Amino acid sequence: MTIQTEKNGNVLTVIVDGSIDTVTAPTLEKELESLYEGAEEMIIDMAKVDYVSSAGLRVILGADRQMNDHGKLILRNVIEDVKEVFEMTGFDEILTIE
Amino acid sequence: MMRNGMKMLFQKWLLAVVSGASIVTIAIFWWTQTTMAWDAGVNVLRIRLDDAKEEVIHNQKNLEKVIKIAADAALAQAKTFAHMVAADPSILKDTAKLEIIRQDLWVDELHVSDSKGVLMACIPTYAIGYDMASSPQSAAFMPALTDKDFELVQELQPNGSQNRSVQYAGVARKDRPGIVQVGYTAQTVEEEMKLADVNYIASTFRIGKNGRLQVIDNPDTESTEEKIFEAEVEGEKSLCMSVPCGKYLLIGSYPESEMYSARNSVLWVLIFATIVLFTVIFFQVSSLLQTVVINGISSVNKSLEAITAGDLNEKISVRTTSEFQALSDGINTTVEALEKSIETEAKRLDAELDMGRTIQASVLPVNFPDTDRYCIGAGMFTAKEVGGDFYDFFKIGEDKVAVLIADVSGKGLTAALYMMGSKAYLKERIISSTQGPATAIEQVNKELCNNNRAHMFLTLFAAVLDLKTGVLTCVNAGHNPPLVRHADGTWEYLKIKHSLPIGISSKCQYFNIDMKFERGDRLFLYTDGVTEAKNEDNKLYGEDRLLQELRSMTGTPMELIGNLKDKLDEYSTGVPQNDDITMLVLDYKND
Repeated sequence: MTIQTEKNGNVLTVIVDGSIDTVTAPTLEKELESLYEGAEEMIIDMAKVDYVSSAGLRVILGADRQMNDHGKLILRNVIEDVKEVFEMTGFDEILTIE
Repeated sequence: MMRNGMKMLFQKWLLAVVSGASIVTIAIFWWTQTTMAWDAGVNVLRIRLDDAKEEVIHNQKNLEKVIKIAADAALAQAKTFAHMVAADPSILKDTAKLEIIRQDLWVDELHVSDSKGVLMACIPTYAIGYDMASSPQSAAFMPALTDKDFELVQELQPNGSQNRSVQYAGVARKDRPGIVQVGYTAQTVEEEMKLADVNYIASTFRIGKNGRLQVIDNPDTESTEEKIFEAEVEGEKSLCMSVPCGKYLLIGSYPESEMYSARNSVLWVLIFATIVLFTVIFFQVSSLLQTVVINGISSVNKSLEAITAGDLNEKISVRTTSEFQALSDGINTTVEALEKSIETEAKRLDAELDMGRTIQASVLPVNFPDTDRYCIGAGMFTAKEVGGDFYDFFKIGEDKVAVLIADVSGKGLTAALYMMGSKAYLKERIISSTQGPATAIEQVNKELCNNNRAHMFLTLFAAVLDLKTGVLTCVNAGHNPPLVRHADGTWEYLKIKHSLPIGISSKCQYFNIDMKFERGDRLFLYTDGVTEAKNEDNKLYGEDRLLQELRSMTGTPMELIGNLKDKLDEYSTGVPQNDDITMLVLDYKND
């Protein structure tokens, strides 16, 4: 998994490439933790994320909770397989997926 | 890359310093040489101008002497002629004699006038009858008619008709009033004058090889100051010096090309030598850098790469310089310390993992019931790192049996403890709930949401089977859809209304979904470790494949779990297991 960030004013786009699973989730969690401050809107571009495990869901949930304090988190370009995971767990109802 | 970077940086600076030094060296040389050449040029000019001055003065003196001698001689000749006339006035009537006398006196002209100043005897004879008073030049001799002691030597007179200068000397006639005069072509004086002419001196005078001397009239005879200036002389830029010399101003010029020729030729040699010298220095230092520093660094880097790749036994031994020795020793010591601390940490982690696994394993029921009414089999295959999967089953009263499967997000000891707590809590709530598992799960959810800083949650599928009625009450809290095998052997996914995982939102509602379970039906619960097992191509095992494989699987619950695990292992050959794989099978048996 690789993580790329682009900052445009207060909008932060995080482009994730690869699986967010038990192994990679802690890396993403650490990376996101350093980005919350100052970002009003965080967009996670999921176009290249082929799989999200429960550990990954926890990181995304954590990000959502963090961003809800002072802005919002948007998941963008979520592929069908990953969308299924969100639907299966009901996350699609609590996350903003575009 | 790193190596080139350092070398290039070094070379860039070296080049800058070296070329800077070269330029400064050459500039200093140029400056000193220019100053020296200028001073030398000024000296040459001064010495030569002194010579010129001396020559001019000397020639002027010579000229004066010659003029004096010539004048004295002319006067003597005039006197002699006067005496000869006085001794024998008859010679005046004898042209032949006069001619002999002229030759003897070695003059060109002899003139004798009468008492009125009219020439009465002459050689050459054409001037006879010429009145001396008729021209200012000859009139100058007129006082001789009255003054017996009169004598006069004139300066050289240009004689228009003969294109030469003639000098006249005259005295009073001794025997009677009259003028006796001789005239001669002052060849010696002329030559002497020519030699003494400053322009002649100037044209033959040389300063250095091509330097010139020019003489002009001194516009300011008062000044004795020498002046140095630059000017273009005959098309060449020259250093010039002017020195006053009486009524003249001597100007010496020394072409700068000549003045600087030594500097210029040495300058080229110096530039060449500097380039050669600094090129040698540049390459020597570069190669020294390469051998002493770069090679050492790249050797250290190679070892560091090996260390980074995991070989902590790699030792660095660059001992070319004391610095490298210290670096090598320092790194080796650090790596050793690191190795030790890694070992300690690994032990601690192992201990934590072991504890996690122990907790995970110890709380899972292992006595699988196999009664006449139902049969349960379950298995959990943990990944290297402890996940938070768990399963559970227990009786509720006499006629109900509950089965649970859950996946706690996260891993490690925290996940294990979270799993342990939630498992115990779920069991307690579900057993005591009278309104089905949904209410119990809602309570657990609220409790877990209250204090959840780590954002941990668990997906759960719980089912309670009423062994009497065959009603299966299910609650899905964000978990993978389980599968049901009907008595006729067909499998299908049980996709029921589901809610959020537990621990996310305290306001979340959970629903009891009742369905009829026939005798002979089988419920298969699993965690995402099953469907999300990966093969070498990073492809997930998937729900479709699971459904396919289950169709061919019969046997007891434990046999099914074992067979499926084998299939998963086969699928994931060569890929490490990243997540816990947990399965539970509940059979509703025939009477």
